[in-house]
Amino acid sequence: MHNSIEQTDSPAHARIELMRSLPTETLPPYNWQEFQRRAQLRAAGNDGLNWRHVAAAAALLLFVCAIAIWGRVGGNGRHVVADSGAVEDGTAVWAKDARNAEDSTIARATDGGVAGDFEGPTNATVAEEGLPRGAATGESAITANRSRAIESWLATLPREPAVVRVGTRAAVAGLEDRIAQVDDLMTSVRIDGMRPDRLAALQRERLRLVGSLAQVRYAEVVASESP
Amino acid sequence: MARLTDIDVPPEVLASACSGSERAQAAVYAAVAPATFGLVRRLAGSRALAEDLFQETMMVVFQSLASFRGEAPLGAWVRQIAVSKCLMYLRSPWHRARLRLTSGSESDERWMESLLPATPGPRAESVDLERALASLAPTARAVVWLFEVEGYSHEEIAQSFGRSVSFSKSQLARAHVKLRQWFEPPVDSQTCTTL
Repeated sequence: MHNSIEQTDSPAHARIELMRSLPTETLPPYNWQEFQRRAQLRAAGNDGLNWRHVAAAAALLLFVCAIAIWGRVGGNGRHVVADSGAVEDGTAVWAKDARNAEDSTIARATDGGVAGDFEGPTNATVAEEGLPRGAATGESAITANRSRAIESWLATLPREPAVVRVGTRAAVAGLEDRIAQVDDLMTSVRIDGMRPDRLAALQRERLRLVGSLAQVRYAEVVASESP
Repeated sequence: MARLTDIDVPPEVLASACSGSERAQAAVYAAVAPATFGLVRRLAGSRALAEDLFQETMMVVFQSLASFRGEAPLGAWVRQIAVSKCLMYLRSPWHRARLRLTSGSESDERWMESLLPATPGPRAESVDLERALASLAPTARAVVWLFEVEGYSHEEIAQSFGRSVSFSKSQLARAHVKLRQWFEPPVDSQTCTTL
């Protein structure tokens, strides 16, 4: 044993002596059989990494990431999330076209000199004529395609995992309810008067909800498959 | 009570254990486990962690038993493994992060007290010393225990921690100051009677 720096100090020396007299042996937490069982469990835990499961989980993760990226970035390279801007652009184009149409109508009426008797189109008709239909329908088709792709992937998942977590289930149920509400709204919009901008917004909202549902369901599946 | 470094097992038992005899392995376990767990729980501080480190230590012991050359008692070799495992844990960033979240809990102190022998020795002083040791930071406790009880030199402690000799010396000095403060509180502190 060393000569400690404190051994000249008698209380410290006594303390060190007391420390050395403390019990060095303690009843082990378990016996040999339990030790063996735990050792086997640990060894199984280290060796039992199933590479097929890991590969499957990685593939699934890549797939969901691809869907998420696809959901965020439009097919033509536009950013759909920042698309509130894009939507506004579309509305602006539509409004500009509508204004142009109105101007040309007024111009025609003025040219004809029968402004008072002119039975021109109503503002609504003008608006409909001035709507950039091609752009709106193209975008809505893309949104609908994405939504369908995610939904077809969701359909391949088991309806409910073996272990159901309340929090996850509540989130899934909430998302499904909101998707159903958006579906109802879309149906009403279609029946009422076909407001394309409103319909497109609802489709985007639906795509966002379906994407969130896919993420939650993916997490649920991965959690249920992990040991 | 036998110190871990004094524990040895007969060579024939060791040979049988190396060749896979379960009875011999059980005998080796019975011989070294109590002192190993005693050392590990001193260095680890908490019961759950001590069990974990003990399990790891014993697994390494049985996996590497064939490499034991027998130049020193088996217990000394096992101690080296146990100390290495414990210090590796104390040095890990996981441990430092855990320390920030949970400082020494009351249950751990109670557990350390419960490990004291029921009859022999001056129990009150031992309980005080156990409490004082439990109040030290894990690194300081490990340094003071290795230096004062296990007989490690500052060079050996520094090497085990991967730090300098000064680190070991300063940790030891600080630990002793804290222990002294625990046992000999400052005289000028006000008590109820002086008010």
